[in-house]
Amino acid sequence: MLMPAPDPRVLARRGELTRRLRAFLAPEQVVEDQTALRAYETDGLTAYRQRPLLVVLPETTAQVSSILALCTELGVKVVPRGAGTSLSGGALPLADGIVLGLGKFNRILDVDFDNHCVTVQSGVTNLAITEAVRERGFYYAPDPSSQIACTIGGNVAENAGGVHCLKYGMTSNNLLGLEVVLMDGSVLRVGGKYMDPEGYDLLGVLAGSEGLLGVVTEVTVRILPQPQSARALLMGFSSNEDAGNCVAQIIGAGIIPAGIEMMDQLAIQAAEAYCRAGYPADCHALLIVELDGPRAEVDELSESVRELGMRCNATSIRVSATDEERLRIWAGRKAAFPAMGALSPDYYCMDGTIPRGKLAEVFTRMSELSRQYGLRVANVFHAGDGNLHPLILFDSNRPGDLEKAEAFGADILRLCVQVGGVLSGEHGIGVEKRDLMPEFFSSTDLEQQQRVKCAFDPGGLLNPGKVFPTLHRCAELGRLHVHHGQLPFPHLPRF
Amino acid sequence: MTEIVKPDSEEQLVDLVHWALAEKKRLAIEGQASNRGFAYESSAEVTVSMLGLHGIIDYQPEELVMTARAGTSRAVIDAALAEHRQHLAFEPPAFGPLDGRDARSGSIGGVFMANLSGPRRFTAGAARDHLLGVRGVSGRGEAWKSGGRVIKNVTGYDLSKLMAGSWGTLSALTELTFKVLPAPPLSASLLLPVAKPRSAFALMSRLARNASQPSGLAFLSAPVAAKLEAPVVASRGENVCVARVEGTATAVRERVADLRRVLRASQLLKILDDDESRQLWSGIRDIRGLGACPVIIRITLPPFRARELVAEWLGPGSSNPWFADAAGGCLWMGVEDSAAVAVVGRLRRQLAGTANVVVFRAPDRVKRAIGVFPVQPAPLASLTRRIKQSFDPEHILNAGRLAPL
Ligand SMILES: Cc1cc2nc3c(=O)[nH]c(=O)nc-3n(C[C@H](O)[C@H](O)[C@H](O)COP(=O)(O)OP(=O)(O)OC[C@H]3O[C@@H](n4cnc5c(N)ncnc54)[C@H](O)[C@@H]3O)c2cc1C
Repeated sequence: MLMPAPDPRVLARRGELTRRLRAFLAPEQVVEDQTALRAYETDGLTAYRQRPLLVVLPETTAQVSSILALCTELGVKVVPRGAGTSLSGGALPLADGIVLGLGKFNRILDVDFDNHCVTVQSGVTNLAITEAVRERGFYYAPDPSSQIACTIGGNVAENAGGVHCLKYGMTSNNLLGLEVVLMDGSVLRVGGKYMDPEGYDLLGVLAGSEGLLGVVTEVTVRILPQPQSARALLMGFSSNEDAGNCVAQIIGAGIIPAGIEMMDQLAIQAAEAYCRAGYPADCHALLIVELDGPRAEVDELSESVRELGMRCNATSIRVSATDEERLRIWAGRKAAFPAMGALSPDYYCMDGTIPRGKLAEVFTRMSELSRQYGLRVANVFHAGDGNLHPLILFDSNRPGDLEKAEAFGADILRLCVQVGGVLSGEHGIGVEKRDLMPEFFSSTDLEQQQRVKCAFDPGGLLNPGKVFPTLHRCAELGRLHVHHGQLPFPHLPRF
Repeated sequence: MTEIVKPDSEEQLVDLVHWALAEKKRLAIEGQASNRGFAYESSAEVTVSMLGLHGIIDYQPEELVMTARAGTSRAVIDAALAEHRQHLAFEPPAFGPLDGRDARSGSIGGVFMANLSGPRRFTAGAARDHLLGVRGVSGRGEAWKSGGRVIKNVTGYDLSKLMAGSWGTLSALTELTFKVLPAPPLSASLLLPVAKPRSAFALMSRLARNASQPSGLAFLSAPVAAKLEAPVVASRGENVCVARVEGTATAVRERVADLRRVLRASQLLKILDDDESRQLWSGIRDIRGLGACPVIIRITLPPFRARELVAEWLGPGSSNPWFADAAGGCLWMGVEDSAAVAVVGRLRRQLAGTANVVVFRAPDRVKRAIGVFPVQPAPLASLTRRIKQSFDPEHILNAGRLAPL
């Protein structure tokens, strides 16, 4: 993975930068010790490592603003970082850039039950929001599996999802307001505690912008009342096709479950070995379908889903009768990632989205690729919204295995694009999928995105080297090529 | 009279923009013009009708996704969806009738470019939440795309969202992909008398949290209720709150019961059946209760802020017709032409930074005096300018539409 070459002039200015930062920050807010810096070398994509120039840990928005203005003045790059759980290398440091850690932005600022929203600083964890409102019967809907650790700022940056996206949306659909600091130090407030804020939809572009447009310091999200009841169905199938077909049947019948998850045979075996999930032993694919809402409705829908399951040749069906049973059904799915440890020394978690109808085709071709690369792949799948998470098993101590796993992963993503899907459903592009962007976008598409980047960060100092395979100067991107003398298009109908 | 051209391919549209760039002509981008009364009249020399680009390209009900060309009429989209018992969950309003146009007028491009959403907004999200991908031609004369045909996607910036609500000022969209959802088979509404408007907001907040998960919560002041074509509501001559629930027959029955459980008997006037309920909510959606008002203001704000505002502004003695939708998060208000400038000015000062006060409909003179939109703080305004610049450096697309020239 080629990152932009470190700028020797910036490296030479480390001392000056440190001194000027220390002028307005407390000593422990500027980390320069090499051993301490090592803790920030990588994020959830551990294959890539880079020690940053410095780590800076601001506490207030004013400090963030001063830090960014100073970095702009000195031409220093900035990599924002929440909890560092990104699986696409979004928070990978740069040798000539600082890491701006938001760990100290950990206060819940306002819990507003009347208006059904919560405002927090961006370093607050995803789960902490739900915990702050749970006793009054509310929750925050997007629930990435990393929710104990990941920050809401990181969720905004990656437009994080979870298992309930089909019904309740991703981060961007639950976002009401942001405070954002741009690279020039200016502080923006976008939206607030109300719907449909004025102007272009900046909340929409900031969500999923992977820390390339602005540093998020404050987030307002809407909270939802907990549903009155929920039930989960566990259905075993003898083939991926049957399971995939069942998903289509459920949605075709007009049912939008709170979650539909699918696991393939290897993922089921791993979950069993890891936590005795009690999943049916002999099936090739599992579906977990969760329904939530008013009690009688949940009962009615569970029955419909059960019937659809039978019609789709389910080999076993279990319906949770109590909340404990429901959570037990989920336990194996929730442990799917750590369970891979029981099967293999290392695994590489991929993330792509496909139209659900292409599931069987994609699984077949993935098995072919698995044979070709000689690496096993387990699949957990947010089946409701088409979001695949193939887990490629490899051994980093075996020379060449990591490279093989990466090549296999890239082929899976190409496959996603070929069948009409996309490169990432919820983990982002980061450095991981950066060079695959041309598989999906034309150079014109990418240039237009980079022009938007220029509107936020004309110097290209915020998290460069992520998302875009080629960097262009903003001046060059802005140039307009007008073809004079063409037309006036006689072929166009006029009125 | 401006000249109207009607490209029937993306290539023609690209050519057209290049021509406009070279000739320094400004283009107005238009679908069925059902929202022409909104914002400012474009000062373009040439009008581009997008209606030549029409037709559904791809619709797979079980994928919950439809792709259509921008000029496809809403009637065509709605009919295709109805065949599979699906719909656009954000309930796009039809303001055509306010100007004496057909209720079903509007193109799908216009629906998303306007980002206007109906009563289900507070639970189902806005139009922008349903837009998954776009193709379009920028003011640079370049055809570009963003997003995809899948529901979950973080592949590059979500430029589709930036298009929603941009009113054609960044690009002329040619193709849109959006999420479609099963339409609830049945609905019912509870009619609740509310003497003091102020208490309606606490009631709506409480009901929004009810196990029944209402998909519509509105407060209608007596003058607005009187104008709706829903006889049971119109004839009462008093303030009412309405709570809508939807779902299968079982679900609706249970949801109504859940609502009744938290209401006293005296709080329930009547239960509207499916037909009555649909009729009432389409009137609320299309703000028909404010039909004759010369100036209409829309305020989106935290519901409890609305409560304070209402006590102060719309209490006894005030004659302005108004109603609250989206569980109190959206106020619609009619004002006299002569008072509009003062009213909007005061509301904007009072609510600065905590609400969005939009002059939804007004004579041009009033719009220019007070501004359709509030003035953005300086850093936001300059970012907005740079974004516009990045798509349309020569300001040829819908010039003057969002800010008077
Ligand atoms: C075991 C495991 C399970 C996971 N499961 C899921 C899942 O189910 N669904 C899902 O969507 N993701 C999942 N993830 C991925 C990850 O947790 C999410 O992407 C999360 O949103 C990242 O948050 P973070 O605070 O760790 O951000 P980081 O990793 O620190 O940063 C991620 C990106 O956001 C930027 N960023 C962080 N904070 C800010 C800020 N305040 N302002 C601007 N930019 C910022 C960074 O520069 C970087 O580009 C999982 C990860 C792990 C390790």
